[in-house]
Amino acid sequence: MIAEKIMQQTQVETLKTYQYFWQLIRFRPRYYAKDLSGVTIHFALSTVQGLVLKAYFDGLTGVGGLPVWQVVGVQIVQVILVLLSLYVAVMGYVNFTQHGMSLLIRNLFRHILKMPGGQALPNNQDGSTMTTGQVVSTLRDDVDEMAHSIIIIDDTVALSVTALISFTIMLRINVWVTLGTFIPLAIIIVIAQRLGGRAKSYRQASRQATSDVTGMIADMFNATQAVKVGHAEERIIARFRNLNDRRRETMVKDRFLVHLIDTLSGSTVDIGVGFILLVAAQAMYEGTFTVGDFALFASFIWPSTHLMRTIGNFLTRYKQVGVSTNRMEAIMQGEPAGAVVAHHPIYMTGDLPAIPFSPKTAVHQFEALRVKNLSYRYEGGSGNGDGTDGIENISFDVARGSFTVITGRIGSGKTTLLKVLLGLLPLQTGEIWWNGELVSDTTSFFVPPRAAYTAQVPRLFSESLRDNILLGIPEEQVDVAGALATAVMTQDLLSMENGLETMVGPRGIRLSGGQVQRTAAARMFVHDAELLIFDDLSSALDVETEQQLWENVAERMKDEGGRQKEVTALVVSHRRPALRRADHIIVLENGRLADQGTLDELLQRCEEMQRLWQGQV
Amino acid sequence: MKSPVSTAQYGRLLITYLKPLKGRVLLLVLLVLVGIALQLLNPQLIRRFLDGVESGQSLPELVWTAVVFTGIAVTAQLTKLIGAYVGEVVAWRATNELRADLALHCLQLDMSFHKAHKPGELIERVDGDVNLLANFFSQLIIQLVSNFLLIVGVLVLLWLVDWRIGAAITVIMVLGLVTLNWFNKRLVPRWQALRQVSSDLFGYLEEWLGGTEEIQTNAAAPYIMNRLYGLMRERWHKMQRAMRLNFGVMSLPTLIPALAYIAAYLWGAKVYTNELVTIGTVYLIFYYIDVIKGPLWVIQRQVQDLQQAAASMNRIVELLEQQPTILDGSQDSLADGALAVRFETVSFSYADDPETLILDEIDFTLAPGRILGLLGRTGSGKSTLTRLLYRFYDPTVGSVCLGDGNGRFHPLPDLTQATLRQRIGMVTQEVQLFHASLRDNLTLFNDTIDDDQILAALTHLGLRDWLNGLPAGLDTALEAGKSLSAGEAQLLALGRVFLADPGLVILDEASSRLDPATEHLIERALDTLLAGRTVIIIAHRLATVQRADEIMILENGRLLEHGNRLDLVQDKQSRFYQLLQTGMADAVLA
Repeated sequence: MIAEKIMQQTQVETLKTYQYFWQLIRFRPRYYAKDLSGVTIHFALSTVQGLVLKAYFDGLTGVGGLPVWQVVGVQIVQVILVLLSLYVAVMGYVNFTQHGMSLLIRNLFRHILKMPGGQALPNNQDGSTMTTGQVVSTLRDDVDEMAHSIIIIDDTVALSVTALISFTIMLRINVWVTLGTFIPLAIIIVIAQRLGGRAKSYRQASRQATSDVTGMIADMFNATQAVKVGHAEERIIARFRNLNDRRRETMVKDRFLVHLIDTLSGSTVDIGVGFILLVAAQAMYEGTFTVGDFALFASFIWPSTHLMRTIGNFLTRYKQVGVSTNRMEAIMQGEPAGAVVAHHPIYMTGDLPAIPFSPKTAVHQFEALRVKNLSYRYEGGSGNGDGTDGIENISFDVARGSFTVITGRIGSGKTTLLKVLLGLLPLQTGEIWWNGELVSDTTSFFVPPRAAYTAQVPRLFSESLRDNILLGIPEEQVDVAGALATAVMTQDLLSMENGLETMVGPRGIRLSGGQVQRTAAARMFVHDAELLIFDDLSSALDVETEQQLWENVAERMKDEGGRQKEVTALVVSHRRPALRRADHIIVLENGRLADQGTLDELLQRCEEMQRLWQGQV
Repeated sequence: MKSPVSTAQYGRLLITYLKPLKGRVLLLVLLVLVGIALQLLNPQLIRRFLDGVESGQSLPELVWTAVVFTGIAVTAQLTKLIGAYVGEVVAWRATNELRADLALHCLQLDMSFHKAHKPGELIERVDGDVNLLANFFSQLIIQLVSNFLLIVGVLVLLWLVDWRIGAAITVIMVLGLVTLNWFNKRLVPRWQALRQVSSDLFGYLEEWLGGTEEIQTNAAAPYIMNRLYGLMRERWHKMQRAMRLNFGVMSLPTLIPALAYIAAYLWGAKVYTNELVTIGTVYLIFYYIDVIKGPLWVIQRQVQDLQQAAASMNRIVELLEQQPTILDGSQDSLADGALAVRFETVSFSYADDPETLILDEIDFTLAPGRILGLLGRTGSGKSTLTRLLYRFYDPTVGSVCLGDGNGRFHPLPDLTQATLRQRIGMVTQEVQLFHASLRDNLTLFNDTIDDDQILAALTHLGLRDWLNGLPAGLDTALEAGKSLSAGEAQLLALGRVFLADPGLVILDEASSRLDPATEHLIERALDTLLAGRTVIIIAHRLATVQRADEIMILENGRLLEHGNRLDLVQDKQSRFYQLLQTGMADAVLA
């Protein structure tokens, strides 16, 4: 049902950009107020600088003004205030943006974790699933874009206030000089902003050329062996040079335009002073425009042109934020628009929330699992990449203490079946009953201590082995050593210098495929769950290790005196060691149930089972 | 730790890549100098204007001065703009050359180097670091040098006006720059810490996004969220720490001109009231102070970038100094036809783990034209054995030889690597593809192989129908891992090898299961490809083992069994026989 909703939702609903801004401002109003007031005072004080200069020169030339020691005094006070307000603004900015970005990241990521795990990442517009890299780029760049665009509002407000004060002062001094200077400057800046439109297409071309180059580098170093084997080093570099040349051409164009725009809109102070000289020549000649006035006008050019530039930037940014909100809302599939800026605790100070841990009690005890008429179709008929279209109308029972194997050839739907059962894919049609009760929300039901699962290609995180196995559950309440032993991991650990503290991932060691799989198995055993679900655990293990592992699982399945140890295993496998142990085998063929029963029965009557047993598929 | 790279090495690197661009570099220097001169000259016209007003010059004279001033201001901007353009061209040309050299250098380094450095890291070296360097060429150097010259120029002019104001502002500037440097030094580690926690944050997010299934089924969301909160909190704290100190840096471009202004107020009041200077001269001082405000901002921002660029340069020089440990031989030809292979008590361990013997006294000879099936578990040394044949590594003990049809054996180090790689073809388990056309993927960008040759080869291998089924034939654009199935990728790899026409083929069969149609195609292609060549197969399918004339079983790096396949099948004591019988075949082969 959720899946259908997602499918229909090709058009992402969003709020107006200012509504997002407003929600974020309301999230940390005090930090925001500090930035806004700080930056406004900071810029407004620059008008004082002009007035100080005017007072000095007027005093010097004897047309009013202030005596020099007062000028110095005012200047010192001005500088202190400018720096104080800057500090308030900077820290307000840091705190506001960091909190705002953290809230956005928290909301986006928390939502992803709530989605069925096998389908957590949203789709692109063309229907393909986003890669993790794409999602990370939204979490980083789009979040950044939104938080920082709000800050530009502050600059705009501050500069507007400053400009308003400046223009009032200048107009009162001389209307014509004011207009004569600033109208031409405004025209230049508008032209520069117009050029910005063209910059976009240049930027696109240079980005494309750049990604061609990086793609080529990635290719050649991913395939170094093929390059060496084919003795293709020189030829690859020749191709690489071509791509580099194309990138250079597009880049130089792109960057030149940026320089041009910068020059037009940024370096206009000197040219502005020229305009003042031209327009004010008459008035100065007549003595109605003092040297002090000139000094004041010259010092007001920068804030005024800067304002025009900032407004231009803000308008562009405001439009771009629309793109970012779109991408963020696409991740928030299924939530009402605006949920991405909903207020939630982000724990930037104080203690982190306690991690809930529910030890196994009688409530969790597994009696029976019944799967009724389970069907699942992948969206758009694209399947899951290995030719599986989905599963259709599958029913079976799993009894307490049994060893049930789901088998079938590649693409027959084994993994899909497990994923739907576990809630890693949304439940479309069919029913799942646990101990005689209908499971309504599969995404949160099949978790420890009820059930635990090891994926076909398990993922470990860049943490210590200990943290990878515990994932937050309290170590003193579980049996880590026992879990490691069951997972046939004890020997491996002995060979590692740091034992359980060994870091996994780029900053630690690289585990072999088998070690990863056995660590994941240990992670599963440590939960001491009732129902153990394995997806083709053996694919990276050698036969002896696999045998040993099944022995250990069988050990766990036995009753052990008074202590309840009996667990149930549901296993996807096509290999003999597992099939031999099975109490019950479910054979899938093209997403349908071909047959089920014991190994002997199936070898007698089920052709697909015979083929699987002989390894002919 | 390696010793830091010396200035001389920087210099050599710069000279190597800038020398071919001499003309442009000279033009660039000229443009920068002219720009600075104009910026220094122009304020003098304001002085002339204001003094003109004071001394009662005629209006046309005043306007003319204003026009000249504006004209010079525009020219200065134009000069800057052209300079920026030339700078970009120089930067991209120079660094593209460096990129290509660096990439080739890396490709020529040993496989042990590539084992230790992941592709992502090399992208960062060849593109990321070089990009920083491009920025260094086009922006940093020009801006830093020109702004520094501008400041020096202004100071010199101030000294010429009056040594007292010149000295005062020089002192303020020097103190300012010293303070700036002091702050920057302390800032660098704080920025680094911020970047580190930021890259951790997104690195972990990427991992977690790839592990949503694990997080859900282990009910680990609360744990993961806490890790996220922790990282975000740390990022905030690191940002605060950096920005607090950065505030010091940011305040200098306000503080320095303000102090200079105060000096100028006092000086101006004294000299003007004593009628030692004109009002235009007093204003000139203020204008020059404004001129150096901009450069202060730029220097403030870019000194930090400079340190980054230095770090990049360090890494690049370090990389360029890595030398391959596998040296080329001199013999550049081997007789055509099938090759013989001989391993003479070969042992091998990786340099970073000399204790673990990957291969342990392997001794065997394979006659020309024979097919050897190589069996053994993962980690038994099969792949390493084939890698030694390619000289991806040299054996720790013993030697590997190739024999021509005439019974002469040549130790691999005697041969050039080009010869070696021309005469040995390899199909790896995972076929490595390029984002390029099918044609380029088949020929590995060798333009001298024309389409007729490619088509003939594919026809010969029985792959024409397969080719015809592709959307754009040879022009079909391939994408790694997407556009071809595992089986099709194997077919492509077979085509690659066939086009190269080697005398020895190493075939590491894909363990993934294939659909029957593709499997059939591969079988047929192998029939053709393997005929008349010496072959070593790491087999995963029984059908492929059946092709072998000889079987060799490795265990823990030792040669467990080697013999004719047909003999071994008969010999009930043999390991091969047991493997076939106990139904464990699929296990060992999988």
